Amino acid sequence: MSSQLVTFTLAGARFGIDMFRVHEALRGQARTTIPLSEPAVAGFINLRGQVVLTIDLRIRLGIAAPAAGLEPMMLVVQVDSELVSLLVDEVGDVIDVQAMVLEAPPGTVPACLREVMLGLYQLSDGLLLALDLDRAVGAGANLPLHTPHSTRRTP
Amino acid sequence: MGTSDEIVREFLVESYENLDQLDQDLVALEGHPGSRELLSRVFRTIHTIKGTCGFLAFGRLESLTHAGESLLSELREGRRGMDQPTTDVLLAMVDTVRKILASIETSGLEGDIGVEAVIEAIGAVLQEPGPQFRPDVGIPAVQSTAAATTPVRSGPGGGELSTDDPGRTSASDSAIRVDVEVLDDLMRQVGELVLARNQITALAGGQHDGDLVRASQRLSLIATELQEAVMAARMQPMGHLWAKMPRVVRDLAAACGRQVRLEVAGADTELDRALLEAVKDPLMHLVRNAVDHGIEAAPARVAAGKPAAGVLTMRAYHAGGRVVVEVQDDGRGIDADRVAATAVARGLRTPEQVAALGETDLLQLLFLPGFSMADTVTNLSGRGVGLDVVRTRIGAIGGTVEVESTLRCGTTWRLRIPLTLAIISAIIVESGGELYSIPAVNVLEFVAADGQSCEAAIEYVGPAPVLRVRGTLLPLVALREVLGLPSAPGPGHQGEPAMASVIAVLQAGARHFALVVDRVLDIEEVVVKPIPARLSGVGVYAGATLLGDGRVALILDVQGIAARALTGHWVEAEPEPEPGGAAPEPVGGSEQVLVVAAGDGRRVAIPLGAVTRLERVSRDVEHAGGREVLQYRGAIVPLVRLDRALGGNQEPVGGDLRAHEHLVVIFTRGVRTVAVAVAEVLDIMDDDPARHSQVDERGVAGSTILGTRVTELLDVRHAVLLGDPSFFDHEDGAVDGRHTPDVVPAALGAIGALR
Repeated sequence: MSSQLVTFTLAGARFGIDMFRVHEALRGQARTTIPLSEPAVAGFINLRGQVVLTIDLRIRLGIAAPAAGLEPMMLVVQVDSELVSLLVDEVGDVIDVQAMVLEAPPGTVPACLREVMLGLYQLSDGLLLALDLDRAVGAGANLPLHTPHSTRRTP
Repeated sequence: MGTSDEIVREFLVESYENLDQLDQDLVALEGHPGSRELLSRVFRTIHTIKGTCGFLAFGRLESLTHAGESLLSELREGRRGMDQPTTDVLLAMVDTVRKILASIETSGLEGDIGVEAVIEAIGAVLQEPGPQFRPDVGIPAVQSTAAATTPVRSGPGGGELSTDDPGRTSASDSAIRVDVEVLDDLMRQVGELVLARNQITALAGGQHDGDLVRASQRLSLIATELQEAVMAARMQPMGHLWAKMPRVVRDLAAACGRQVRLEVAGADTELDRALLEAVKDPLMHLVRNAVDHGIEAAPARVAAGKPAAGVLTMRAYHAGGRVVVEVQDDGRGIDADRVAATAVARGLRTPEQVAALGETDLLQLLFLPGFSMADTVTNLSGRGVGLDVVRTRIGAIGGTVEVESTLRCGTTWRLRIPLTLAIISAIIVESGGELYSIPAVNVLEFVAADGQSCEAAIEYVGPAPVLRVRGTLLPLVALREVLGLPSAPGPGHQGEPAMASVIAVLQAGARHFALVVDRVLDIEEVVVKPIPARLSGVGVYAGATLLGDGRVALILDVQGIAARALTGHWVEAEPEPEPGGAAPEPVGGSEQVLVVAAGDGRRVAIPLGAVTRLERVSRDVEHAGGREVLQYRGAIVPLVRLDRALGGNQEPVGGDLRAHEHLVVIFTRGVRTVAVAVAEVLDIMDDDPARHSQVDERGVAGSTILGTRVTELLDVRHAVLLGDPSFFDHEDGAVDGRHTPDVVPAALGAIGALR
């Protein structure tokens, strides 16, 4: 794991992924839906001739569905030697965490989130949740996780 | 270090190739013990291996091949002749060499494979005075030409290193070895090129620029040719597989105590190397089956008036854009009745299910998981794992398996395999706003669902739509429903296709069914892109592909869709029997009956006019007031088991009714409803009351002849009253459909149309 994290936001919370795993950030890709697949699977995109699976991180992490009209962005990452595209709200800066302490998430963090987190960093303007990419979206990851959370919507 | 690795790898590749040839030659030598040409070839191969492994310091391999070489040189010099023990010991030596090579391949070392036993065995054969060599008259001439044309090179071992076949010398001058990975890579790139070509073609199609159109056509042509050339490079002749067969058949025949003569044809028929690899195991299985179960022991054959040695024929040829591989024996054939009895005995099918099947369909039962005809389990077969695996494996590469058999004359197994996997011809269809591709091999025809066609019509059996096309009933499923997409807007029956939709008649293995799609767009050569393993659980996609406009389209797995959508067997309705060609017009008294199976093997006819609908209900049977009830469309409905209505068994029959899904016939009158659970719906047929005869049995109104079989007529009134004693209150008259068309609800109009 490098000390640099690519950050992105989901429902206001800031997350980070190892920069070396991130291929690119995209916006506005046409997606082909995959009927009968798990709720977190958000279809296929054509990435320059390659068929890439898209996963909706909000649903995967059990975060409320986005407000209507929000155009999500995509982070294309490398997982298990294949590319996976992640739907996120907004891609942010790259943050160097070398000088910071990776802390264990407090006990109040829901288990479904805690098990896909490496830990969190305290930034001057908030928290940064370091995501364990392999556990979150790797082939072994149990995608239809925690449906009660994923189906709950903000009023 | 790298150089020596390289040398070892080359040694392995070359030795494997030579060993395959060696197996063939040794088996052939048994048939022509005097052939000097064969002997020299065998000798040279062993000698080459011995020389190289001496150079590479593989001591065990060297001492083993040295022993083999001593025996071979005796043979070659004519001091002894070939006999069975000699062949056996030489084959054993080849096997051991193979094992050591495998060990070298994986670990780089010879490992601890025992060579002493084989060396001793060779020594023992050498001690015995073998049969004298009898010169084969025709052979010396061949041998002399072989000697004259075989070039001799000096190799790193210092000894002679000669190519093993004069014919291959010239081939090696114009051919090079290419790593399979390079070919796979090339294939992928060509796949990308084909996609880019499709995109350009789509773009150029909308232009009026003549130069662009011409350039795009040229690109298209070149891409197609390149694609064909790369595919051709990946092709390997079936001969690669056939080459292994003499040895396999010899060993099998010896193990089973059979005399088998192997004949092969079509060795130069070519197949993509990945596919060749994929058919290898299934083919071996069929060969094992043919030798163990097909071909009889010699005395039995002679008694049946056949030659003592059975003939096993393996053929490969092109037909209809696919490669057909046949395994044929002239053995005892497959007894369809025994297949049926076995399927029933093993609980895989009910007696009435098998009774309804024709001979060809009975043979299909062989492919059921868990099916085995063998009375005893031998080392080779009879474990009940087998033909279903063959079908699954072949199905996985887009192929099919057929079997034909004539009792006492033999059996033919036929594999139909696509030429290549990476690029397929697919039909692009639209459903629910998305595009899907259906492999063209699965599509039999398209039928317009506009109701104008006189050849095809959509009918309903209860809620289940079926397609009637040229006298055959096919289960009809809508792609939207299979995929759980929102239904097409439009009035009418649930599942009714919209007026503008198209029906594709598809073939999945041995079954045919009809799939409703919104629109058919195009037929395109598409590159199959594998989809992530986590999606394979869905089971209805074979892959994904990129279309000309850059969109991703899912490739449908037709077998998977059939498995998902067609759960019951009643949907696999037989073609309606139409004796004498033209069906007799339903005259006066003739009426339609629903033929169902009761759990205990009886065939029962229910007047169709009395039936409200047929339904599969996925609910548990519950109890209310001591009766069995079912939740059905939000109401509690009494459930009557057909067996009980017939005065039979009070116990639940089999596991069927404890299951979560029940096939029920619904009878409704006003607000009252009764469900009768049946084991299976077999058919809808015309019944002539003139053929009725009286049967004095509770629950049975009589019997009739349907098709060629005697079928009981259900006393509907009795059955319904068992479920709801007040069903007929306030109304006078029987529910017996023969006399009461007034109880027929609206939905029956549709059923009535089903002849």
